[in-house]
Parts: sequence; structure tokens; C-alpha cells
Amino acid sequence: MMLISDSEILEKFSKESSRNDAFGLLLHKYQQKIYWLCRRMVIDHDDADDLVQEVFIKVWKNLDGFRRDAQLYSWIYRIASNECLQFLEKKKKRNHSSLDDFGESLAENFSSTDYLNGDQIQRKLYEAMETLPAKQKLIFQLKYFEELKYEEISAALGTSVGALKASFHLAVKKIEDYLLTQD
Amino acid sequence: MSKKVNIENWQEKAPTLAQMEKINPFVVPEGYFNTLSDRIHQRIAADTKTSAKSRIIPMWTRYAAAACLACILGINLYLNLQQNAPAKVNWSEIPDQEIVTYLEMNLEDADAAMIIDKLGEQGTPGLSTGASEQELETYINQYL
Repeated sequence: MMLISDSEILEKFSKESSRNDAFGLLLHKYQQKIYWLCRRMVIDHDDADDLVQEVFIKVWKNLDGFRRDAQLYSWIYRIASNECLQFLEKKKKRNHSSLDDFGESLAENFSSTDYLNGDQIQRKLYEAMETLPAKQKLIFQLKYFEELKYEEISAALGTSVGALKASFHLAVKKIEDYLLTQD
Repeated sequence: MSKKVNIENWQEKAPTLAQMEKINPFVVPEGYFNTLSDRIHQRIAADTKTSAKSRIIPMWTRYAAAACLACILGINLYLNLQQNAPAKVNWSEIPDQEIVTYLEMNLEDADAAMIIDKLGEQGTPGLSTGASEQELETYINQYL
């Protein structure tokens, strides 16, 4: 099935008769990307599943008011990013610890559970990511895994390109250090 | 210039990370993505039904609630205006002894003693004259 362009999706969505079809196409195009973004952020499948559903319910409710001058994928990524950060913030409050500590506790969980397949070095990469502050981890993900341009991440997160570059660079350095030092 | 290059080329600073394959090590339940769209559609349908139901009932109640609120606010405002209207006091109608008793009870000892002394010096009839009433009113307004 060929992926339809965002502008075609929006065009179809604007008509009552083809609204559901348009949303189906949008889901087909973005659901996996958004799931993996959420999954890498929150690690647990059930949490990621809840989040991805929440994201697309919000997309459905607000797509009518979406401004055409923005990119659809940036807008969806923005919703997903906000949902993930809010989720981690709530979880942090429930655990009564700082987000950084929370990340470290998640990292410790990796070694004792079967969250991940893959070899040891892959595990270490994800452990290292869990030691990053939530927003830095999100920026790292969008740049490293999703391979978005800084301008695209900037549109999604509302952060300046300069700040994104600095944050990504710092994240890369921390992860490299973690990979080299942790055995 | 060189600094910019360093930031852009993160691979130079992180060769271990740069050499890693981008493998997705997470697993999902079998067939998860085949059913995800349907589950999202179902949740949207359920959400739409719930919000439609919750919209039918409150339409008239919202107007009623707004009308009640407006009434309550109006009555409150009216009562407040009535209560806060400045009371006209005709000082000459208040017996001197009542004023003395009030001052004794409500003023600092030194003030009360001084006023009562003054009353004694000038004689209580002075209280019924226009000037003394004004002075008294000014004093009360200023210090009580």
C-alpha cells in the first residue's frame, strides 16, 4: 500500500464523507512511528500502547483546527512528545523521585528484565539513554533514530535549533561515555 | 567554523555510538500493529458517544444554571449595596452617656480618659452643638 501524502490526507479529512477514510490513512502512515517513539521513551509496551492511543485520539479531535501552514508530521510528533513527557512527569511524581533518578532506575530495570532483545551493546545503548533527562532523551531519539532534521525537531518541540544541537551533542557525549565506561 | 563542524559531526566525538547498528531491540505482541488502528477507531467511537451523551443532558441545564447564577449574583450585589450604603447618623440624637460608654468600651484607656476629661471640662451640653459633633465625628472617623 503506497503511503499517501499529508496534504491528501488533510484534503480528505476536510470532507465529512471521506473523514474516516482519511483518518485511517493517517493511522496507517504514522501509527508505527509514533508507537516506537513512545516505546523508546517509556520502555513498557502497555504504557506505549496507552500513549499511542491517546496521541491519535487527540489528533482526531484537533485535526479540524490544524493550521495548514505547519507540517502534519511535526504536529503529530509534537502531540506525541508532549504526551510522553507528561506521562514521564506523572510517573516521576508517583515515584517521588526526580526525572533523572527515575531514568536511572529504569536503566537498572533493563538488566533484570526482558524488555529488550538484541545484544549486550544494544542493551547498553538503551540503558545509557535512560540516564538522560526526559527532554534530552526525546531530542536524542528524534535525531538519532528518527533522523529528523534539526529544523523539523524544532518545529515539533518548539525549541530553537541552537538549543537542540547543544542538547543532542551533550546527549551523544553522555551516551558515548556510558558505552565506554560501563561493563 | 570548526566548532560548528564538531557539533554537526557528532560521529567524530562518539565513534562507539557511530559504529553501532540501529537495531530495534524491543518486541511487541504478535499482530499488535494489525489491530492497533481498529482499537484506536473503537476508542474514538466510544469517546464520541460519551461526549455526545454528555452534551444532550447539559444543554438546557447549562442555561438554567447560568440563569440561577445570574440571579444569585444579582441578589448578592443588591444586598451588598444596601448593606454598604453609608448610614446617616444624627449625632445630636445620641444621648451623651451612650457616647461616653461607647468610648470607654472601645477606645484605648488614654484616649477615653482624655475625651471624657474634655467632656467634663466643656460640659456635656457642648456635645449637642454643631462644632463639637463635627469634632467628635472627625475623631471617630479618624481613630475608630
